[in-house]
Amino acid sequence: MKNKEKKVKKGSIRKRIVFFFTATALLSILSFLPLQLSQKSKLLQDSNNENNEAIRQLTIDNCHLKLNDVHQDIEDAVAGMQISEMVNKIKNYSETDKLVENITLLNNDDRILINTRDRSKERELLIGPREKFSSVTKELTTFTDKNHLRTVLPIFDGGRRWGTLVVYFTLEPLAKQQQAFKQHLTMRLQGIIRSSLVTFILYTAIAIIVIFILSAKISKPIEELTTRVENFDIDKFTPLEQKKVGNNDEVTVLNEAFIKLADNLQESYYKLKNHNKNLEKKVAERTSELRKNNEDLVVAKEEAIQANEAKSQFLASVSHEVRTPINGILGAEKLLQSTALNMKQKHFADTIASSANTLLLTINDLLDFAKIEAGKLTLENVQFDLLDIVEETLDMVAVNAYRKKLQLGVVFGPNLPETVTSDPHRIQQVLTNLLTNAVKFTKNGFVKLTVSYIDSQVKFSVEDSGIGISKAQQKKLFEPFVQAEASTTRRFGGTGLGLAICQSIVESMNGKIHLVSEENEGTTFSFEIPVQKVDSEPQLCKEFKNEKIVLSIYDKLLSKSTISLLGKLGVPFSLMISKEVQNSIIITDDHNAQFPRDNRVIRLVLPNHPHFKMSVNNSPLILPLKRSKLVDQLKYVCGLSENIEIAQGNFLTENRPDIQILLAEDHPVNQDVFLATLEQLGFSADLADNGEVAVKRAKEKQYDVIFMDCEMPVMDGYTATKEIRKFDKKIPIVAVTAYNIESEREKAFGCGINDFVPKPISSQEIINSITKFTKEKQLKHLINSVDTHLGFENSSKGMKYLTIFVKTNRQTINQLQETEKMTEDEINECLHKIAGSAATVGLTKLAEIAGKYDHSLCQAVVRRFKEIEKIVGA
Amino acid sequence: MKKIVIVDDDLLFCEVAKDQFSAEYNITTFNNGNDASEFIKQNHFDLLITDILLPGQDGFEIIQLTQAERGDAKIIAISGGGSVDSESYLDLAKRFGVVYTFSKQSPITQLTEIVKEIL
Repeated sequence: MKNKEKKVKKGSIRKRIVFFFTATALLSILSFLPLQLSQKSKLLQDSNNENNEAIRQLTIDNCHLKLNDVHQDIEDAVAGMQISEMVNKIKNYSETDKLVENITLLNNDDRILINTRDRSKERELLIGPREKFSSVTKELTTFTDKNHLRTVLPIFDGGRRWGTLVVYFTLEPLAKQQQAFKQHLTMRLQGIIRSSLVTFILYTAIAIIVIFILSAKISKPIEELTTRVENFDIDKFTPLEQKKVGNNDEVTVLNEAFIKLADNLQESYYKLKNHNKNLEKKVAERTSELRKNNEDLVVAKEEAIQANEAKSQFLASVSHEVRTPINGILGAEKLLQSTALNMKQKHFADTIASSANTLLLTINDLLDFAKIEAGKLTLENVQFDLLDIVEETLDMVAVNAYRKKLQLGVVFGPNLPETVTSDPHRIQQVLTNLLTNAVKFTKNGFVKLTVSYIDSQVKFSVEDSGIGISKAQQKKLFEPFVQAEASTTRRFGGTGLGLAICQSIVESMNGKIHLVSEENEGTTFSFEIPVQKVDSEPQLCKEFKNEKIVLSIYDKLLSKSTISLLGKLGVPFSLMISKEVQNSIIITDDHNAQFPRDNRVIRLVLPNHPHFKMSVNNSPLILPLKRSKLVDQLKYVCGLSENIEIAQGNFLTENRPDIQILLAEDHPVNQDVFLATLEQLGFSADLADNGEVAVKRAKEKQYDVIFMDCEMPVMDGYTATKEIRKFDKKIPIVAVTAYNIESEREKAFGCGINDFVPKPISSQEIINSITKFTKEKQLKHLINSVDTHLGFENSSKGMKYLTIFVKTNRQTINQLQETEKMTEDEINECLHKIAGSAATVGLTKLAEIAGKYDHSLCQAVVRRFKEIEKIVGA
Repeated sequence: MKKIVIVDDDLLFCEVAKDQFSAEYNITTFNNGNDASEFIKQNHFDLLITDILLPGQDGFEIIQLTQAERGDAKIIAISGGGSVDSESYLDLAKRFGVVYTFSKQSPITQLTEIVKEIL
């Protein structure tokens, strides 16, 4: 392809020269020749025409002469009366002379006397419109057409008109002759053109040959130069041959220039080549250096990875290694606390515990911080219920807030979306940290969490009435290992890493964290993070539309929180107090207000409020107030649920026999909590404020079980137990104690205690304990209810059915304990089986709960079954 | 003595039903559909009481088999605990031509009354 292109280029100059010259020669010849030829032929024709005209004129003159002859002859004949001679003469004329076409002789009356040849002429004269030839007085010549003419001549006889002579002449023979000559002339012209063409071709051929020779002469040196350029090999170390090209013309100069250029080029090329060689050498050197460096780097990297792994491993093992002894310390401290300690020793033990706990938190913080520093903080992006997460987080700090008697509450913004997409665990981590700090640094007052939604961002604000932070300290606060005051570390513990971690988390979520604080006034930490709003149906509560409830709230924060929760639940409420309460929920903070009797009243009171004991008619309120708690309270007071915990699906209270319980507990809050728990489980209890009262009650009434707090004023639990044992050896007494340890147990058993329930109390522990000591009573009750249900009164077949019920469903219940491994259908199938069996034996509540196929109620089903299993003992 | 066939995988129900009816009727119980269908093919009986959800052949198959093999036998379809689905199962059973249905949510004494009425 390239070669071909080269060839085309090679011939192009020559071709162009040949083409150009040939075209010029042809053009000039072609434009000159026709001009010449046409001019000559025109000239020839013009002269021919002139000649023709002259001959014609001469012929016409000749005709006139002839006419005069004829005329003379006729007049002579007329004068001599020699008519026949005249006739012969006329005939002779007309026959001998080619010019004469016809001769007619007419008399004075225009009658034809003689007509020679042409009868048509005679007829013309006879028939045609009669011309008055007789009136013609002198010679009159007219052309009848181009080649014919007529001459009329009067004939006189001695001055007297005799007749008229009409002679028709024809120029036809002349015209024919002229035509023939013209043809001859044309033929001659064509001959000239042909010979001219031959000459032209000859000339052209010669011209082309000459052009070829000339062009070759011009282009050859160029071609030669081109070949030289083409064949010039820069790589050859031989210099270019000093060959002369061209005839001292421009090409020669070009060639010389080329030679010079080639020399320069070659020189540069050699230099470049040398340079390249050097460069290659250098590159090779560098490459080997680089390779070596790379190898070093790989080694270094591996070392670094190993070092990092070692660091992580170190951190992990350190944390593990540190945690284990800390747990040991904490365990030992608890043991220590249970021994007889004097005040000083107890104080030291407390210090050990708090230090160990602080150390544990520090280790966790350090691990988190190390993760963030290493950029290993990973964020989730999942859909979750924002309100649930917030309520859960509040629960975590609730115990500490409760202990310090702080008011803890949440206020949700009106347009806050319930479901959002973000990282719930990180949000919870930051919130927990801020809330824990707030609770930690607030001696008394409140901790308030506000959650609002502005411009696609959720804003969390944690406001407290704590010690506050000075302006100077605020600046340093988000730096790691910094606390507001060095002394705070001593006073409150903590690493000072918490806020640095919070800030890192919030910033990694594209959010910002702020701080507003006044010393001794309180602090507000707030952070906002962008979240994706997910459209979801708000979980509205429609049960209370027509209820008349008064929420009597004795606290501003609590009332604000309640209002926002009612708003979120879609429960209609009003803040107005009027004498006539409408069909809706009324919120008031006026505890002296009187309400109509048919209104149900819920008093929400803080634990440290003087009116707290008044709230016992409902269940005790442990802050923070949550949606579910509020709904349960409302349902409970409206009679919409049998007890509070059923709605949460924890315990079923059906088929409870009448079990007499005595609770000996001095602390009012504990009393409330314990009583409420019993109530949730379907039991009620008599109350004794101290050991002495308990002994008195036990004497008066036969109880099935006594729950005994160990530390009480007037008379403690152990003493009271000893007293009761003096008159009742059988009554089961369950100690409620925070110290669930062996030595304590031995001491308690020695006093006649039968069992322990650890503090803080749990429903499960209590139900287990009650079941343990009231088995017979409960079994009897169960069998009776089954018999009654089946119509086998007093047959005691119930025991058989209950045994079958427990045995046939045990497997199913075991499956239900691991619902996370099951499909929805499998769970439903299990619930269906239980529901069927339970319905058959008349455990209607269990059947109803299982038959709802509500998976959140599975645990309630399992618990109730386990309880029955224990009672039946199968 | 009239013969009643009871098909239910719930042993408890079978036991309770046996105790309920054995004084007045001849009771045969099965806990799965396959055993029950073998029996139905070969034996005469007056009443079939069958659950709908069964291991092996389900209640609808047992009902159809009984209608084909024992045209004169009466049928009571029963369904288990679930309040959600039991109604719909029993409705479906009625479309199969079953006249009498019983939900375990109701006391078994009601079933006794239905049986008395039928036989």
